Amino acid sequence: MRLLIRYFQPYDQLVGLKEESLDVPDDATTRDLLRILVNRHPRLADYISFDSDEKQMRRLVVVQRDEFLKLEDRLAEDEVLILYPISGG
Amino acid sequence: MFKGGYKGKILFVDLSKKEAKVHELSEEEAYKYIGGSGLGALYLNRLSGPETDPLGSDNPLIFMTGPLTGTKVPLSGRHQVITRSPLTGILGEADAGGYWGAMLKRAGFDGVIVAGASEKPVYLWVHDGSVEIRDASHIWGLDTYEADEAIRKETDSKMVAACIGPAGEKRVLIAGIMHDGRDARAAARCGVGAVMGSKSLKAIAVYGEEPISVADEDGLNKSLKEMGPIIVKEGKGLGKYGTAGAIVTIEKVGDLPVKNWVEGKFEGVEKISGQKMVESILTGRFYCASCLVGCGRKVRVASGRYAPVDGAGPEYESLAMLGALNLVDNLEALAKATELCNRYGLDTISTGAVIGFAIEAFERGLLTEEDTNGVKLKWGDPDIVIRLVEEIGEAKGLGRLLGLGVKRISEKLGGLACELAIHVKGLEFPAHDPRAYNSLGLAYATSNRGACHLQGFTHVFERSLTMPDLGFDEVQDRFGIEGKGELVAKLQDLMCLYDSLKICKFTLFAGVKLRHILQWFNLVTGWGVDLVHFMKTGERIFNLKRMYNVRMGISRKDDTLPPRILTLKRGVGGAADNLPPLNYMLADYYRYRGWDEFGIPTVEKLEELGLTKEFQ
Repeated sequence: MRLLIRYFQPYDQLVGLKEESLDVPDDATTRDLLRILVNRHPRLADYISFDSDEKQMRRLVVVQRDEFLKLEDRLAEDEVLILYPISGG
Repeated sequence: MFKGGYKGKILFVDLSKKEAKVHELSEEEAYKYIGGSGLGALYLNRLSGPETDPLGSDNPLIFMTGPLTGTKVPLSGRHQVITRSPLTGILGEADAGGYWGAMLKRAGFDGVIVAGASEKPVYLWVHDGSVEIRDASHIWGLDTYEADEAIRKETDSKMVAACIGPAGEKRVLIAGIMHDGRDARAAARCGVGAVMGSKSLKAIAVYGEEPISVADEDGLNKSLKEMGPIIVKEGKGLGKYGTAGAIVTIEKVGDLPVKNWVEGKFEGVEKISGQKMVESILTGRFYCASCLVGCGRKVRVASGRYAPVDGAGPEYESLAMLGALNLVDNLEALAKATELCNRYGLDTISTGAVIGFAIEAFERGLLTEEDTNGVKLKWGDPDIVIRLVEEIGEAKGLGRLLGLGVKRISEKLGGLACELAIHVKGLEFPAHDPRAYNSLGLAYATSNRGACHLQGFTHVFERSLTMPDLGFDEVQDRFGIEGKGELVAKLQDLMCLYDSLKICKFTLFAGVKLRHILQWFNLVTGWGVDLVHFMKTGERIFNLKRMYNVRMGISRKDDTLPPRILTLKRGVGGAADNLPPLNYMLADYYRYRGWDEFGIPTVEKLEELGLTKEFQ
């Protein structure tokens, strides 16, 4: 399936793109997508840390259809937002 | 005898009698209520009641540190200010970072309780275990940056001051207390600055060099050696971009307040982000005592329409409430408006809220050019925001009305004005929308100081954080309904602990788990508290504050949200059609809390928590 990946501050600057389309397997999960993104944009690797203890992502969040995605969530064929994690405030 | 974490002394100053005494801190009470918010609420409950005039000499103004304040424990440079709020009429509290709390302990005290009122302006000079009540006539009227410099010259170059500006002096009900001069750490909420002004107390300057003991220094060092690098690593983004680093995300998920809470998207959001600040006006970072993150902003605007600005930069809340709420996307103008709030000593959250209220009220004909001295209030105009900040800070023109807060303004204007007033129990909403996170709706409705995201901090567990120690193994569903009562109650209890220990809630974003907090608490105090006991203490503190509010007349009728939040679907953005299902969640919450149908803790609950004695 095809996903429209939209990057927001500061990731847009990091990868040099505001958005891109990507083909991923139909059963791809958030974790799969993040692996693909790191392969395409190695500078993202520093921002993707998997907390094995708590299954959470601290340095970026992935949102699709207004839902915060967990690592094991299956993706839908739709737009995916790559956002800075909410911290503070 | 305290083994660590406490000085064991509370400074009690009666400004009417011009006398000061030192009270011994009871170890039994410290064990039950910890410090900060907990001990502060205990003292407030004993020293005030329904008959207390919030702006009268009988209202105590309480500054409390916690056992972690001033120690090496990371992000523990915080203290609490507690009083009966003149804005809400109920328990009022605000907390601040910076260096004041740590310095107070080095001066020999865990807290300062100010009673009475002085006939003429004074400031307190607390140093090396003693206090002087000094004349402040010559600094009355100065803004907080100027007053800080003036007091420094008269005391010690290393002193730290808690200080009010002209807004507090004029008893503006949304005035706060500022700390650390130009670095402007604010105990902003609930009108605590107006209470200080009502006592003619300009500042409390503190300095000392006493060590702060820790029961198990080696154990603490060992733990910090392990955790320090993790905190530095995980807190890197927050340090780099500040709290406003996430404003774009917040807008995308429908959490940002836009146009007085009517709209769900804000096109100009990227222009006022933390990332944009780094590229433009940021000059440095501010670290509170013991902080390893440094989320505080230092900014400079050297030229242009909004120059000069030089000092603390805007936090997320300030950018959202002064900016997005009013459709203003000019970062330099918002830095200016923030600096003005800091200098006047105003809460940027409530200030932004009353401005948004005023613009909408003007648009709807509830305010006219007669009220605004001929100025046409309109959305998206940074100069209007700055002008109104100045009028509020100086309590002149329309500012006299706006300084009363949205609840009172709407009552004065009557008619539909109450529909535009976004508050709970008289405290203006902070910059997170309960339509984006259901738990926030319940947390705002039941927070003990009125609408507050920090006293539950629940929304962060509905987007990216988990808390296995409390049974929340997965990120919670932000639009879900089930289980919100338990989620909110447990997290409110936990946040009572953070506010009493005085440790920054941003530790949650830096890899610090509940087990670390508990470990540090035990290593500092020498007490062997387990998790169950710890959480019960948090519950005790929350119920103590609730019971104080019950004494002030609070019950179920007050645990609600504004009609706009309950019924207006914004139609666009990341939470376009969600509305918080408050009634269902509230029933769930009361049941979990063990409160009766009126939202009042039962006799059995008070007994279970050891609170009966305080409310006989």
